[in-house]
Amino acid sequence: MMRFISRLEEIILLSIWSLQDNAYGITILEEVKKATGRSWLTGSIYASLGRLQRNGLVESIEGEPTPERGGRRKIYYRLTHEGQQALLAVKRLNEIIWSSLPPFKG
Amino acid sequence: MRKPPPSLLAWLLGRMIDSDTRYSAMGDYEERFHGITDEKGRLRACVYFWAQLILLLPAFLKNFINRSIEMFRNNFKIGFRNIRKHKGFSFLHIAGMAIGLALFILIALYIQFELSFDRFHTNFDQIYRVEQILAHESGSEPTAGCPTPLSGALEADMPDFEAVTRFINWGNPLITTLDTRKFEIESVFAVDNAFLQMFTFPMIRGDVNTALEEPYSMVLTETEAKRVFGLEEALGQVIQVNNSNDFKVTGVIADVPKNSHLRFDGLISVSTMDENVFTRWFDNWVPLYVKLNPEKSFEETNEKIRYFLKKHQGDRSRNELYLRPLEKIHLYADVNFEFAVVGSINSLIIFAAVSIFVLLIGCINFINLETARAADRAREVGLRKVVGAQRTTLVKQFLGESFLTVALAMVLAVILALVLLPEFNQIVNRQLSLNLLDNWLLTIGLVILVVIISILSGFYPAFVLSSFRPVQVLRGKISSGARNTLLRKFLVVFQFSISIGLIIGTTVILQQNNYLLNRDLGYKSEQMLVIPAGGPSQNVETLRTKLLENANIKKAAMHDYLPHSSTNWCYISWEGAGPKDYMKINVNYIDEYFIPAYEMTILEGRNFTSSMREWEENAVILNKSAAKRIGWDDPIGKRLRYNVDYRSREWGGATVVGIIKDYHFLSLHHTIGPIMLRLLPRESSGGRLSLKVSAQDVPPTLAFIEEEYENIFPDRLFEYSFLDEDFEQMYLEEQKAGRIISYLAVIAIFIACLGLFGLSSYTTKQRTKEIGIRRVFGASVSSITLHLTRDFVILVALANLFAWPAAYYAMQVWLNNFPYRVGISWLVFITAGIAAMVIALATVGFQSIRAARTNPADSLRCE
Repeated sequence: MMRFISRLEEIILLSIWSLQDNAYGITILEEVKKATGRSWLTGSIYASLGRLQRNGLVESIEGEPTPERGGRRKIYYRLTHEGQQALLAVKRLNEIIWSSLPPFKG
Repeated sequence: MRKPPPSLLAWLLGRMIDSDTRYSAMGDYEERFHGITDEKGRLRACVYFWAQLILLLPAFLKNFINRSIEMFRNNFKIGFRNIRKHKGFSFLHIAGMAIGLALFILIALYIQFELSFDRFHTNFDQIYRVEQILAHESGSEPTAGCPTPLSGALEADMPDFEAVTRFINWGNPLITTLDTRKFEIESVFAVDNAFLQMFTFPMIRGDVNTALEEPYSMVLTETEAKRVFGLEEALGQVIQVNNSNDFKVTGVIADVPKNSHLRFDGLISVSTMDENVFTRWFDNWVPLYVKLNPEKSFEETNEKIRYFLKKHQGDRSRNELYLRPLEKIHLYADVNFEFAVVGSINSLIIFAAVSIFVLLIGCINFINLETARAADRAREVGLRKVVGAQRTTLVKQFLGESFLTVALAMVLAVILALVLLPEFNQIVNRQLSLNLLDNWLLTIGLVILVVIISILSGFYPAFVLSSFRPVQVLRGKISSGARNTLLRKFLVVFQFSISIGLIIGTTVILQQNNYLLNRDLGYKSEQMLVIPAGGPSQNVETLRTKLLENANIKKAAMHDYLPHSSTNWCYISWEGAGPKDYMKINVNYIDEYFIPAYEMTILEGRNFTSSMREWEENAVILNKSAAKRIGWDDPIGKRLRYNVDYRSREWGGATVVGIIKDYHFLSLHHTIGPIMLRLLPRESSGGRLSLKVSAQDVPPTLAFIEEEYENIFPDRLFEYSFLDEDFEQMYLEEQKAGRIISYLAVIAIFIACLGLFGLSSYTTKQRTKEIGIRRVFGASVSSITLHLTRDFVILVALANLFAWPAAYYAMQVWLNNFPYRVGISWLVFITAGIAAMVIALATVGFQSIRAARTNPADSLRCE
């Protein structure tokens, strides 16, 4: 039985997937913002990102140091196999539940 | 090159992010920062940073608290296990600390109460007592008694004061209700109408603004009103006072709070008193309180009032007035004519210092025992380090344990303090209560104290224990904290220095108290019974004759003031004196039986003689000091002049007929000054009758006296006191100090011994093998015992070296407060040293003997 990821985690994972090779903090934040229609704190994105990384759903790759980051390297994030599986699990779950729903009676 | 974001802000923001993603996040932040700077300017970028910081704060705090609780729970659990595992040691820690803390709580309560004196008045910071520096031929002295007309003059000429009131002792009047029941109101004062508005003594019945306006008005406290009138309405009742005038009860006020220096059971309007009493500017006996206008500064008014008396007493007057803040009366006032029972700030400081010392002894126990058993915990520390504990984590853990110990001790201390409180109240003669919910100041203080003590006593052990190197520890190479032994020895010496110092202090204080009570006062007071007299002298003469018929009553003498507290003064001038020579002198009125009854010694001349009473009213007897101060070699027959006092309204002349040996007419806090004894006028009796009764059959004698008294004075209440008992009343403060200090000393020793007991039991346990080997090689039990106790004996002996000079100095300072004092004998020091040694030996020796007697086969067996 695998643990289902949270909504925010799902969105972050999907953003990373769609961003492909350009997924780092700021772009992920932008993607999440675009998808949800509201702004997020960098700190709260990183809280989820940290958790995802600890659980092995994403992995990080160091880029080149850039001057606009104060000489720090860019940290790119990439989905792992487990990350992809987790997304698929959520998708399947949604489909199963949706398909078995009776018609909505307002 | 771009300017980096503000470093402090960036650092703070970094603290909010978990360490594993911090690097990446900080990169993002900085990138965004520069992005915003380029677009909208640096200011907006900073705003962005601040917004991020503030918005992240709630989540961050939530996380932080969750994590701390988790950590704390773990430390708490470990600490608690440790306490349970080493029950003996924990008991020693906690008991020592709890006793010290309980004592500290009690002393703190007492100090808090003493400091709270007179602060309950709403306007206490505006109220002052007017005091006077009375100049006389040999200097000057402060007094609470002001010239009688001063209050009126201040009201007229000093707009700085909003209100002025006198507070005049009106004695203990006897009141008679309409249905002829009699009550004595113990302490009544005559005050101005402003009194009740100035001070905050809440009025239960009656009108604050007018209650004491009319003459013959009386206000009673609630307790007195209930005692006299029961459930009846007291307000408006008419009572007869001292079998003469009718007074009207115009008010009932709440009982005077215990922390008021003004103590009374009833008040009367000062307008009741004869106005002519308040006309003489050199008549100093009126205590005066003023309320300062809030817009006036205390300093300026104090300066203005300083030479106020010159205007009325003439430019030659060197007397000065000054204001004493109300809240400074109880602890700081040391003036003549003090009617309040005042405390002393010095003894408060001594109590506080000693109770802190006792606490320190408790802390030292903790430090010593923890470092001594460091070796036991070395393995635990080693293992923790191996699995990744950092030093700060360990320090936190050990500090946590000390916190737990101290907190437990505090809980016990509060319980102990509650148990001891009634006893303590008796000792300090107060009604203190310990209510932590109400007394939030104390509660907060105690919480802070717990934190301070846990850091103080836990810091060093935490520091030592966390410093072990895991490799050495786990290989079993750690020695038993050898490098801590020096500190430990030093601390033991410190503990015993304090204990020995306290024993010395206690002994000296008790000796001095004993001395105060037993010094030869210059007269005999044993079996001397004093009853009130007063009124026409025939009645008292009749009583005296009747009483002397009883074989158990040997002598009877009339006098105004008691021989040990004669507080009436006047000024005299004498034959051959210059125009400016005058002397302040104590005056007591006596009859011809007084001197023989009290077995005072007449050095020259003679006693008063009754046959010549008429003429003798112009005769006086002086004491030796008075004659010496005037400078007379042959005083008998010399003339002198005295000014007014309460019995003589005019200046009068007199002849010296006798010189009496100096006797202590005031408490031993005062040196003997000049006193003049005058004969009571023929027509009126003295205020008191002293009766020398035999030691046998005291109860029947008392019953006899009471019966005769009531026959002659049917409308008075009979009361009596033995003079010896009065003496003890005079030295209550000293008695109190003596008792508190002696309790503190016993407890200090006890706690120090708890520590010593723990320490010695630990060291002997560690040396079990050594003892075993010594036994095998033929050492005797006694030599081993000696060997084991030697170290401690040396330490205690060393403690004497520190304690003696310190105690000697402190006791010299204390004794200097007394003009009559004991010398400090070297025996006290030796005795204290020996006592401490014996106690320490008993503590250590017991365990040493047990260790020495263990069968070496048991101690050396190694399986």
